[in-house]
Amino acid sequence: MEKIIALSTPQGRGAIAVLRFSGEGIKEKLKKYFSPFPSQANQLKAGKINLDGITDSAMLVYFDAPKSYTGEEMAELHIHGSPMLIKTALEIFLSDGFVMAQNGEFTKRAFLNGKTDLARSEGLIDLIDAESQSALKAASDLAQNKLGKKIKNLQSELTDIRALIEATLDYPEEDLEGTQLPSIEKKLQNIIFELQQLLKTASDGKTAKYGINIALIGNVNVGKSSLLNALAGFDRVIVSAEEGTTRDTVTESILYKGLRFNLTDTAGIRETKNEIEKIGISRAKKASEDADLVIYVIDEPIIPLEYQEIKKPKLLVFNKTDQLGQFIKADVNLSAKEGTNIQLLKEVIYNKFNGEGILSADILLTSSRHVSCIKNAYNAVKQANENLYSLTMDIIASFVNEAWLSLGQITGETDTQTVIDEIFSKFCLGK
Amino acid sequence: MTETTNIQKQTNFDVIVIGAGHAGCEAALSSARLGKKTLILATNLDTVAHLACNPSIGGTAKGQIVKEIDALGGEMAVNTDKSLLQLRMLNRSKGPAVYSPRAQVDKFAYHTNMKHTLESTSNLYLRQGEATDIEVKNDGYSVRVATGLTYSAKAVVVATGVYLNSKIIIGKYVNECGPNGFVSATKLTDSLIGLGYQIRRFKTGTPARINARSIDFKSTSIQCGEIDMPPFSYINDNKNVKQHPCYLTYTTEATKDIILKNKDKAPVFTGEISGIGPRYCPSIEDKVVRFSDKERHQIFLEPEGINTQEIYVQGVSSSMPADIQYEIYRTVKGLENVEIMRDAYAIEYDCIDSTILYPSLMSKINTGLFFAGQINGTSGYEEAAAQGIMAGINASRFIEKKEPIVLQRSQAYIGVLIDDLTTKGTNEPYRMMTSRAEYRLILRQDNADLRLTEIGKQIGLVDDTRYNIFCAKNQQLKEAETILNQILKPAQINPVFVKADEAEVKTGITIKAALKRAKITVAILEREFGLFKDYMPQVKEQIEIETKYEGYIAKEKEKIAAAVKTENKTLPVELDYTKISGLRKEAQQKLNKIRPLTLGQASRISGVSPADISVLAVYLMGNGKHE
Repeated sequence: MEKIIALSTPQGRGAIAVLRFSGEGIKEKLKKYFSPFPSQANQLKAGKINLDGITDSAMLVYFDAPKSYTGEEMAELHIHGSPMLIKTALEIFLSDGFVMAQNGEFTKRAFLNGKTDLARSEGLIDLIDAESQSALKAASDLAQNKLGKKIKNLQSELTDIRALIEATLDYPEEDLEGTQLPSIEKKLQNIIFELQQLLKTASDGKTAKYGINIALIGNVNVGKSSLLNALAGFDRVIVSAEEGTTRDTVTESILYKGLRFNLTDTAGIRETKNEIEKIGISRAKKASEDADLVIYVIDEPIIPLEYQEIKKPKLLVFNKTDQLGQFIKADVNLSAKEGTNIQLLKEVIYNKFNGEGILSADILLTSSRHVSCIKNAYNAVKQANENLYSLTMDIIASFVNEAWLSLGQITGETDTQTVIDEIFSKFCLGK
Repeated sequence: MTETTNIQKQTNFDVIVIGAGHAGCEAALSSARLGKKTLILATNLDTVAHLACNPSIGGTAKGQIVKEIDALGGEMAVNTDKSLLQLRMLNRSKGPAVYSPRAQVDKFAYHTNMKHTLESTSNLYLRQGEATDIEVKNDGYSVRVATGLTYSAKAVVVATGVYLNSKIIIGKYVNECGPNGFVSATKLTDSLIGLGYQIRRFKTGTPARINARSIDFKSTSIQCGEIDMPPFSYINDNKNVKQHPCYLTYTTEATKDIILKNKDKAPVFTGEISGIGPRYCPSIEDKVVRFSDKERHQIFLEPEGINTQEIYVQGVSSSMPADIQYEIYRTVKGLENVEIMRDAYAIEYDCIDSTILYPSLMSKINTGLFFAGQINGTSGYEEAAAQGIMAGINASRFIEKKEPIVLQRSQAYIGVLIDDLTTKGTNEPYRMMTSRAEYRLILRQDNADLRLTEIGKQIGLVDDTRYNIFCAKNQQLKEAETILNQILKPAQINPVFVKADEAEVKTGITIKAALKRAKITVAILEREFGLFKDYMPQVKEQIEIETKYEGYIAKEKEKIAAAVKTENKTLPVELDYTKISGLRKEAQQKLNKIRPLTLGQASRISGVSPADISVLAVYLMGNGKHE
């Protein structure tokens, strides 16, 4: 049985999200991510989750087989309900051998493993029904939109290739003008390109769905909190002239022309002996690492060394123009206090992230399940293409088939009869 | 002994098999070999194992099936080896998953050899007679034949092939007969309708047979067999059979012209033929009309036997009028002066909807009544034989009140075939193709014995000779595994790598790792290091395939392991799916019709979604009925 994972709390923002895991070997896998790992089954333990460098507090409980709901090794991971964190977690687990659970799959597994002591539950059936209704709706929405059509097209291009290959494998005695390798190669390369383009939209899709994560960074008392308040349009953060007022990170989301900015105010960076402030500063550094965009706020006309070291999208913002005038080398000159050029900053951010393009885009990948299916398909097609002239056609066929099935998990089309129909419509075969 | 008991001895059986084609022969042989007193009926004993179309056995996916029948203890491969004209391995360049053995056989020898085997098998009674009625009795069935005799049995296997109400069509000429002018069976269909079966009409066709002396072989190219290939049956070792060639030629532009000119005379286009024909087996008129941009079509000339001049013309199946056939055949290169001996014809026949069968091939509406072969909507000798052996086995087990044998899709093409037939059904004559199998890399022709001999042994069809050969092969494979894990030093292997144009190594590597290199073969290892020297050729083939394709094979095995629990979860036969509220209407109806035996089978029914399967699982869990 595959190791499955599912988000069992509702999609969207919540205080806490619960990820559920089932399958042999998940305990060993999760030990890589969670510590200290609970020493006993059935006990929810607090600890730290480490997801590719992002650490956060979390809680974990595991169940041993067969004493679990599914009868398999199971675990539940409770993490903070930030959509970004959930998404990152899912992405990391999916690339580490887990697969997304299908509707009702936990229950199905419970059945397959003979957990018959559970009472029959109409509620469960209703739940699966509801899930399948919403999955159906999602599927039909998908069929309506351009992404769905695109994927269907790609799958039918793969059907073409499969038919070409399968016809030569099943009808060697027929005169099929060679195995048409160059034409297959061209088709494969085209699909690789299309899948690549699709995968690229995943980051735009992420921006569209979850917004841009923006960290406000700068020395103490340059007015980061004032800027956040000015951007938010109300006093979200306590501001004072006293250095080091903001000791923890504070996050606020605003909408600008339909795009979400997730602003994080951070503690000012300075050498400090205050323990709480120290933690705040290290979180500030962390926030800037996790951000899609760093806004570095200054109130002196000097480009700080630290700013130059930031290796990701960044903006240098010169604050307090009401007192200090302009700094020509800054990206935006503004006054948080007076509210001058706040709109300009929003517009600069919007343009920097291709807001126009994102919001008018035909196709954006927003579901991590879709991204994982497309990634699988992409890898399989790449393998087929790279080995086209070195491996035998039976293996090439199995790569193409895998890609076809992966896309089929999105479109729902996984019946081999389609390919066989295609073979007979394309080729003249038989006695 | 009194007169009555003697007559009873001749009329009371355990199993009656109706039909002595490829399905009937395997069914009767397996039933008799399992100790059941078995009667096999044929409308005409000269039709036993008659090769009504190609004089050949095997081919893609079909070759694998023949090997599987052999591994289970069936007769087809053995009989093929006895009647061999030529042996080839198709798809040599396309990878081991699709290597497919194909034999040309002497069709007369094939018939005679099989008939002789039937005649000399104990417990087996071969009898001429057209079955007209199947009647349900308290303790089984009675089968009446046209002459008035009645036989009784506990189980019956219906394997009537294409003989039910068959008619052959050549232009406007329609003859109500079976293949090759043999009489058709005209009464049994009504009896089946009376028992509750829905009858469908399928069609197929065959090309003309021509006289070899009229062929200009100089304008064709010769196709010889492979001399070093192991025989079809795992138990045979007869390497040096004299092989006979086939010839390859092509249609010409003129072929197309003549067909298009006479299109209005073709029964497929005039509506004379109403049966559903297979798309994979089109007549020449079909090919020319549907694929009009193709310049020429490939034609194979295959000998029908050693003691005959008759040649089978593969690729020119037709139902055109006899005079047009002459014109068409004469346009083929080398056939300018062709002498047709038997006309090409289309044939229509009655068959049933195979979804009325359990995966054991027993009918869902008549306990003890089994169906096998073309009556189930399949096409091909091999597909028929595969169903025959399973029906024979399961009829025998039915009498013994044992669980039926159902092969999985991951175990055999036979499993794929029967699962497709009983789960999805078919709307055209069903031909096996490798692309129908999801585990093609596992279901290979070289390992059918490793997959199925043990099962055949448990069934009781595998005798000591076969089992000992199997054990010896296994023993060598086990030894080979140890050898493959031995380390070769760079000094030993590098010269070999250099010679084969492979990159050298700096540290020692296992023999297995060396063999994984593209240009290193078992033959090279044998030549350079004397490895695997005294091993059977089949074992060497195994070592090479299993090593080179190890990663891909492992991936398929993982998929099989992931599916195994669903496949093994049984569903109660009497379950009323309309009572399960969470199931969608369509799923309820489909499930009620097919009555799947396992959750796996249910999941393959079209119109049943993964969510339906989950609902089913939950329902069963609550009712605790699933074990």
